[in-house]
Amino acid sequence: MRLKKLFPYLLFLLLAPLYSPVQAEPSAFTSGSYQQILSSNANQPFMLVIWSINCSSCLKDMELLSNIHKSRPELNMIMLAADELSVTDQVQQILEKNQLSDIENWIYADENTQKLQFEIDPKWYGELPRTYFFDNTHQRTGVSGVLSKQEYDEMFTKILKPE
Amino acid sequence: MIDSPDFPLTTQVVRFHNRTSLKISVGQLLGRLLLISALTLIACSHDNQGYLKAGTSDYSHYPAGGGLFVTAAFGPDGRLWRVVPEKQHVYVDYSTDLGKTFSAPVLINTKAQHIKVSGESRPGIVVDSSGRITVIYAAKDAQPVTVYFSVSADNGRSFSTPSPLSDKAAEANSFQGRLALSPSGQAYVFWHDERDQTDPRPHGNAIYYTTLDDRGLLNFSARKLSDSACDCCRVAVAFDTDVQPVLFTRFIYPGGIRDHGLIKIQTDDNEPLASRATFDDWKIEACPDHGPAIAISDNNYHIAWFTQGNKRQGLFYAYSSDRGQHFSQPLPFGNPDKLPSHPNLMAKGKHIMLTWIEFDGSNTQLLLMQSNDGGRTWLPAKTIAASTDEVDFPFLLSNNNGVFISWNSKNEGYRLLPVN
Repeated sequence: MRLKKLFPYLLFLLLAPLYSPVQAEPSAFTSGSYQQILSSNANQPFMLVIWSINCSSCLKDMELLSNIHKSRPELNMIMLAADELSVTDQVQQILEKNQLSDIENWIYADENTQKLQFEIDPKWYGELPRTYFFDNTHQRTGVSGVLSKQEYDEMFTKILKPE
Repeated sequence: MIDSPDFPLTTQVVRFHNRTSLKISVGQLLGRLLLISALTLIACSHDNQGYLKAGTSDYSHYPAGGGLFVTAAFGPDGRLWRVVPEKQHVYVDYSTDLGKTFSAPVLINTKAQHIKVSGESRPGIVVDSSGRITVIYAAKDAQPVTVYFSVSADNGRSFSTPSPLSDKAAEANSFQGRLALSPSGQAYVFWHDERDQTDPRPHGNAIYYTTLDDRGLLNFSARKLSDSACDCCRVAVAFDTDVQPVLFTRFIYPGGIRDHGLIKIQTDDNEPLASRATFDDWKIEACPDHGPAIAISDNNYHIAWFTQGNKRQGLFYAYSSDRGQHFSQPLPFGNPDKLPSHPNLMAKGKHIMLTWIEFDGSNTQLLLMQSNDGGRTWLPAKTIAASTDEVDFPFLLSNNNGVFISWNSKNEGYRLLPVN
């Protein structure tokens, strides 16, 4: 059933590159994806930003995130849209508009979003935006809400500090 | 007119297929086809679709499988009415056996729409003492989201063509609709409205409201109640002893503090009374998506809410004996290790009931806690149901048979659980 539902999306993913040179759409975030992100970024600091197209606070944060991405290309920024697959186009539009579509992007792809949320953080109630800062040993700090430039900078200093 | 005789028939055919699977002879097939024809005739000739026990609580009889964010209300005759949104259509059905089986669903929007519902931005249904049914739901229209309303004056056999609630629906988003029926039978609708939005938006969203007359028409175009509501949390409503509505929701206070407040609508067009009710000091620019609850009885206000403030974190309950001017010390409830969330309240005299859900990583539990002295002391919380997959929020409802919790879930279907 799930495969059947995903089929048009998968088909689109397969065919999309043939027709247009657009940047990759967000990957499907399912059970296990969080661990996958951790292992593919082993021994590296990174920032995970969880947002949604329906979260007005998140949209206010986009411009700053875009600036951070431009001014700190060395920072590994990963974004996860807490939206359903059917709105992938809208998610992609917002990412492109803010020049954030070239980074690693994900989107929830399981209807049971509470389970996905719990896999990321069993203490998190789901408020958005939610940002996790991982140092190179993957000690993480989770922060809810929009951050100021100064707050971001403080967190980057923490996670990017040399050994 | 908008009656939907197709669905009971579809149901029969679907069930027939399910039961027969592969082992069926030609004779049996003919026999069953005859049976279906007979059922078809019965269905077509019957005035009241309600005689067709069209489905159980699992939504298998729904064209697109029903939906998760279902709202229910008891009618004056004790029937339980539901509004059930699917991706493109919204339906109403009812149960005469306390939620065990439901009538054939009646379609509200004949024209397919992109229905927009969530736990916070929910569809609504109320049934007044004359049996008039009012329904609200949100869908994409000229704007990304618009709240619609529709009314049935014939006991739910047909519904009016849905209309936008807001007089500015073509220009501005309307969402977070909340429909409430006063004890005197007046239907109120509250919603968030972006008509006054400036860029950048300084202090949250506007809440507007209107009322419906006994013909199902709007009494007046929208009136504003606030312009500082947190836009992702639903509005809770209860009626004071003077039958005026009291709203309880999350506002954005100076300094970007997201705490809760009350708004009481006054009679005679006086300005609504607004007051702050919680002081948790949650300074955040975020969407908590976690609306509160309110109930009023014996001149006491009872509130329950979620916060991650500097002063306290989790779910809390408090009461006020002076119409919300002062509240008792917030009482924490729920297991903090299991993400307690989405509380709902009911007050019957001094009997106060509080329900919420908790999640352990794989299952969701439905909890209930009761007080027999107006919220001063509480009996231990009890788990009364569980679910293994996605769930909706729980809501307390009552009719002459008692108090129930209305709880929808993906795996277990719709449940109406008696409180005692």
